[in-house]
Amino acid sequence: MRIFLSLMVAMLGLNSANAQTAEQKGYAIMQRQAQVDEGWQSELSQGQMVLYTSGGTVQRSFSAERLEQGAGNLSKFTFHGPADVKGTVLLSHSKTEPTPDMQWLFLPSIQRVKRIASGNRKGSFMGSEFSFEDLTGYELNDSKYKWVADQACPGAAQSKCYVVEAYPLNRDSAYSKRVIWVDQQYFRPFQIDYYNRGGQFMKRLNYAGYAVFLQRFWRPGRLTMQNAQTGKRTDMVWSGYRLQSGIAASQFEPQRLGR
Amino acid sequence: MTKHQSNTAWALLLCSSLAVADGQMSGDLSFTAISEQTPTTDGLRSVISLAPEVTWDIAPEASATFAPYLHYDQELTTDIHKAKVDIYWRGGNASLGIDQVTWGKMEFSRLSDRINQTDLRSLLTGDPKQGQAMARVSQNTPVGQFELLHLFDSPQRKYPTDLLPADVEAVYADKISEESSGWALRYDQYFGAFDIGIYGYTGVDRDPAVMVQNQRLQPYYDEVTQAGIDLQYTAGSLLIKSAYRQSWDQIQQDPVSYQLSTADAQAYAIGAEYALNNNDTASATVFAEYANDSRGKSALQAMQNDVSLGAKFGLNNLQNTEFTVAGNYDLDDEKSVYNLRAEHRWTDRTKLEVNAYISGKDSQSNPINYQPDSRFDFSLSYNF
Repeated sequence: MRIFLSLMVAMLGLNSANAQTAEQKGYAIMQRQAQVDEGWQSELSQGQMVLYTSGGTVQRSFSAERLEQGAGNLSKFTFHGPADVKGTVLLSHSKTEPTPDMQWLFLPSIQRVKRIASGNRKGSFMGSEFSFEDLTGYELNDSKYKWVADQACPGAAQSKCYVVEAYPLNRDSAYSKRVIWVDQQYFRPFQIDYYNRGGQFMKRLNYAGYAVFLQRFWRPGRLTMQNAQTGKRTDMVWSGYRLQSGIAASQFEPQRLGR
Repeated sequence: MTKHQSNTAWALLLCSSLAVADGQMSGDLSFTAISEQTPTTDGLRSVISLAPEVTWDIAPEASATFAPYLHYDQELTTDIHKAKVDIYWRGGNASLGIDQVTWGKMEFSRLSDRINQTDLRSLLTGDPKQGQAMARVSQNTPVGQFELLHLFDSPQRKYPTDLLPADVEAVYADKISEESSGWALRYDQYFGAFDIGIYGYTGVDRDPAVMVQNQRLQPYYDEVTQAGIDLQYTAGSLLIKSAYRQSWDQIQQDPVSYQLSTADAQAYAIGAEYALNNNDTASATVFAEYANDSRGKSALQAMQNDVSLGAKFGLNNLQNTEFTVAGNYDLDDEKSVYNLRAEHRWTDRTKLEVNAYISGKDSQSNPINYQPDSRFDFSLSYNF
């Protein structure tokens, strides 16, 4: 019933799209996506980061914690293996522009918490195809949007997707544009194409293996980031989602890292 | 048995009793080949160190950790870096036992790092901190985190045996000893782009003087009370860092006559870290710092009037290949020290490290802040 109501609200909002500009429609789609996913409160999950290169694969296991906050979500990735990265923690406080996101990295080898400068957020996270910026997430008002088309969802041809271009407002962003495929039924992202500051196609993120939790929150089982320029690929395989798990906000304080 | 040895024995007993439970072990075993030139050595030697760490979850909100440190450099020495029990609650935790605590945000200067004694044997190859027996309570509040530490003893600084033979006993000021306890309090908070830390410390000074008795060096320890602040500001790709420390009745030593005295002293460090246009294939960060101590050349620590510059280049590859170049320039004696380092993960469990260190200083002229004249080392470490 809740899903049905959410969809009705979404459809009502987007049915007036005919009278909207492409920018207004793009914003309305992304706003709906944010609204449909509201209410998960907190989230625990387990993951494997699999890095593929011409020289083979490397696997890293981690656990992820997220906390839903009105002013910007909080997230924490804690790595459990391999041995040389065990205990590394990436903490992110997502903020809405013009307030910059904040990130801290705890490095167990030197037992120090380091603030990540925004210039470093363009860099690869632990040699993967995901950057620090990709792992922070984006708030609705971090970008300007433009609807460009309706297409079959990549990897799910039976589903129809909105295609929306997102232009990051943060000048330190690594990207000039993200092109997002969002399915019209549940507002789940299916694909994101990233373009660098020079406007060149840089990498593609695909979502797969969606499952629904608490009857309304969709979460992917696999994210695949393929670098179009180097051919390298990183998969994030997710499992063990627990939503509304009651994590305390104090767990996301940088002073607590390494404790 | 000294109090420090007693604390170590209790820690070992505690961890032995936990050994029957399933623990998670990690750590590293490293082999380092060193070619070093010091006042008394000039040649190639090998160093092997083993640093395992075992963690037990002993209750839903409690854990125990044991991390011994074995170091073979002409002779086998051992230390315990961690042997503690942690208890957690919402927004806080308490720990009891031997631990390592890192304070401060500067890259080169360690003004705020007051809790653990330095291990000069591994200053250039690994973690230079010794374990410290303590009780530690921290609590997050809406206005920041508060942390109170009671330090049960005051371990002596460990020196390379060619500089200070193991049989040399340290000297302490009246009423204090290696068994003297200390207290520390720290407050941490961030306000948007600002990170701030404020602390106080009272106990045995972590930086000993070095007396010359019968042509042999002998460390000398005194009490000190200190308070300090460290501040960091993030502006885009730039991190601006600063630290200030006020010390009351701090010992100082004339570098020529070795005469000791005490005085109130101020020390500060300012620095910046700038991330260049990083992307998914490479990253580069440059550092610059200046550190000053009002005691000048009578200060018992390095970097009393020094400029340090450094740069770190990363290839952002699977092997986490990194190159670091750093230089330190002493404005008092106008001499420099350079350090080059390269790190590369060989396999999932092994890492290679090459380190070159060249000093323009005469190490014999300043035994208080011992550094070799030159050094080249190659290290292979295995993570488990």
